[in-house]
Amino acid sequence: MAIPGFRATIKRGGTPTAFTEAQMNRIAETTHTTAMSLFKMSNTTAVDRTIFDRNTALSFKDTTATTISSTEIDTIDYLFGKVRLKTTAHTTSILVTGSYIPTVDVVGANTFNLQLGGDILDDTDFSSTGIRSRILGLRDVALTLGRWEHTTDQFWNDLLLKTSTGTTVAVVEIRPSDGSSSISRGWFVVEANNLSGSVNDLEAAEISMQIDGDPSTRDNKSFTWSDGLTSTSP
Amino acid sequence: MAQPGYQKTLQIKTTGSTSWGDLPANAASMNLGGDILDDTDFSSTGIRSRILGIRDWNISGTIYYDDANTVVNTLRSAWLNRTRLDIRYLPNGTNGFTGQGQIEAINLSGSVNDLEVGEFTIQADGQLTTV
Repeated sequence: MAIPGFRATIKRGGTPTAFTEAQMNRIAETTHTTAMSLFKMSNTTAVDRTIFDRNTALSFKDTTATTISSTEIDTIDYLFGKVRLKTTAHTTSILVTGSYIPTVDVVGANTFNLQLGGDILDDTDFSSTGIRSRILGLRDVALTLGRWEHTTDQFWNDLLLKTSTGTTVAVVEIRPSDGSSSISRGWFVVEANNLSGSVNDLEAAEISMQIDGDPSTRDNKSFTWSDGLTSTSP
Repeated sequence: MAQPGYQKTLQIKTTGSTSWGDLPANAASMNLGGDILDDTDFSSTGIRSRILGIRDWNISGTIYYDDANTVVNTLRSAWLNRTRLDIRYLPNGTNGFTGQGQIEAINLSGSVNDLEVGEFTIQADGQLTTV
């Protein structure tokens, strides 16, 4: 069934906030046949702490406060607060210390366009039976938001607050239907914030963003969907 | 006799699966093409001659985005996991074309006064056959 557009929600990440020994509960691991276990950040607080700050190291302990070695960690889903361990020794929960990214609704947002693309690479060779063959190479994600301009304009600040080491990167969450478990999240660089307005209309802004992919080949630090990756290889 | 567009069906499945799923599409197009190679030589009687070289095809469509629809999720997961998709383009709902392809792009958009829609393009990754 189609989804009416007004049900979409768009959130933006804020300032990383540290936390200590927060609980992660074990959830069903159905992807892998080898002995692995999957844990998800518990949301017992009023604040959603499922987005880990990818610029802050995470450390894990079991419920007896024994450190879980990095060699036991298979992958970390920074965007949805999950960790997959190479052991099934921890049966109910583990503890995580790090930083999370709080999110708030993008005020005034009324349209969005999320473009998921990539380089289609032609690998046709002489074994071809006469039809081109291809593989998908480097992927890319672009996001454009339309919003009614608002005085608390964090996106404009992102363009102004370029640090000496690079541009400011923001986490953005797109949920096509509120209440749905299908959510997309990614780390984006704000490319432009174009404002317009006329005497008989509202002041509007169009914000364009490009994904800032992380070089990590296994952890979700760039872009994903909440019900997305089925393998540990991105 | 002409074929009404509403009877068209667009189906996908992951390679290896046996179950085809209908995409909730309201528009779709298929392009069949190829490299036209000019082989005109001095034996020409004044008109160019050509042969059809490597062929190519692609399918584009617009769907109503619904994340509760497993077929839509299959489309999205193929991009996310870089996997090929099997696709069927059936102009009358029964007969048409089938092949394997790669997702080149999926563009999702929505506004407060409209429906959530997705536009996708699949490029050929191998032979196309008739159904």
